[in-house]
Amino acid sequence: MTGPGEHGHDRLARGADLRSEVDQLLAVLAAEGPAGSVVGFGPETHRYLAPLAQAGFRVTAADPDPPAGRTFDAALVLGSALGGLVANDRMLTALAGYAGCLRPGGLMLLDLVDGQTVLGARLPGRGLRELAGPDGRRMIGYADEVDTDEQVYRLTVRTWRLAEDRVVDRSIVVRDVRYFLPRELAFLLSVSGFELAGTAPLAGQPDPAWLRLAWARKA
Amino acid sequence: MTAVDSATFGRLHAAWYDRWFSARSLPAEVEQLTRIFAAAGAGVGSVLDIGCGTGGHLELLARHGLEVVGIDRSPAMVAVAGERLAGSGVAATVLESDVATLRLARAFDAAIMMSWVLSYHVSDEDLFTTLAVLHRHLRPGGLLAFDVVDGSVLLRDGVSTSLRVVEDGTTQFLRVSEPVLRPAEQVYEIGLRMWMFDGDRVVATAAETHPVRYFLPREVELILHTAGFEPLGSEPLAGGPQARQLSRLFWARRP
Repeated sequence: MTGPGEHGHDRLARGADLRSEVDQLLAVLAAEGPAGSVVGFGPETHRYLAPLAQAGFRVTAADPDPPAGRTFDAALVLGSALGGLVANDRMLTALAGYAGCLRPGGLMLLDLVDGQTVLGARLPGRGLRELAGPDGRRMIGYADEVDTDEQVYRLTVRTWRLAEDRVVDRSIVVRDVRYFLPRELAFLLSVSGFELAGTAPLAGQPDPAWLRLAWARKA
Repeated sequence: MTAVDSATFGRLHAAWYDRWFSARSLPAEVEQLTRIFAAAGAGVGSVLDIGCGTGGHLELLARHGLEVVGIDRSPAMVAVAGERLAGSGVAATVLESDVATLRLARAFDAAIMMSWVLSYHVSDEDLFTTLAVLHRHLRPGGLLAFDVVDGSVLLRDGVSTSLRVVEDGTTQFLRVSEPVLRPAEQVYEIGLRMWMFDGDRVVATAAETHPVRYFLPREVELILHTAGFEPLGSEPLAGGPQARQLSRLFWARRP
């Protein structure tokens, strides 16, 4: 079983499936022209780099910054890394950084929360999971909401660790991720030196897909 | 049924415009605008109204003591607005012009664009042409306020067909609104079919399609920023239906 807790709290849709996401990335990279070198941004992106390396790509993790002076054929910005920045000015700064480490014509692949689905469909990220481990039991509670004034999908993850009849640890993580409409995304990319080349529902998700994969070419 | 040319129905539509949209409250909208102008501390004495329609905002703003100039590209709307303002005894100027070609030899303290006028700019090119015209007609520090279709409300609630019937003596107007969403284009397309009956006679029929673009709040901020404005705020337009206010008011400053 996979869910938000499996891959970190920012896996927004339950049922996310790494293998089918990687297959989708490979298909887009193959369809959009030659790419040999790939740089990955964002804490979640490293999960995708190892399978891409196995597929023959030269991969580099920007951790957090890309190696100076190098350019790449493709950049991965996954795990809702862009949407997590929320504000326009932070996104414009980040996009300038992604553009700076791509060769002209290089491809950026990013996943994002689809505003159409977020606003129109039932929220997916609610419930409680109980996990038994060697160090005791854990309970993970998920709650989500859409804040339309802030234009964010807000996922709250609470964790309790239990030993016998005592709560030995608890935590709360709240993450805001901005959602986008299609022309909004195209415009944001165009003012950042990219041309949106395509979008598709992110592979391996239940329907309707909350996350979309988008790919854009550096102008 | 009698087919009539669109100019005729244009006049009919203009004449009946205020009744079609009687669900909204212009005084509430103008109170909201003047409150925003005062809070921004920009010292607003003159206002340019782009797409002024039948002049409802112009009249009320003039009553607040503001100097107002209205622009509309529809001769029928300009005629109705002119009659309204002449009858109300307030000083206001109404000009027939397309916004894209507008060149007034002066700048204003504030500009407004109400009734979804900006949402009617479906292409990015038209949108930025109009925003450039507004920028040019505002003094530095001047304020811009406009309402657009709120994508959050539209996508949450979905769209549905509605029928409106207005009666006046023996005259009946019917208007059926049949909207569809075109999500990839971010367009809410309102198909309107209208009939005018006088007694048992069909006087006029018409069909119109109104494609309007819907926006999210941070998207509008990005557009304003790109067009050289400083976004100041947004909130639901005042005076509309509480449960489903499709119009959101944004305001910004020309730096």
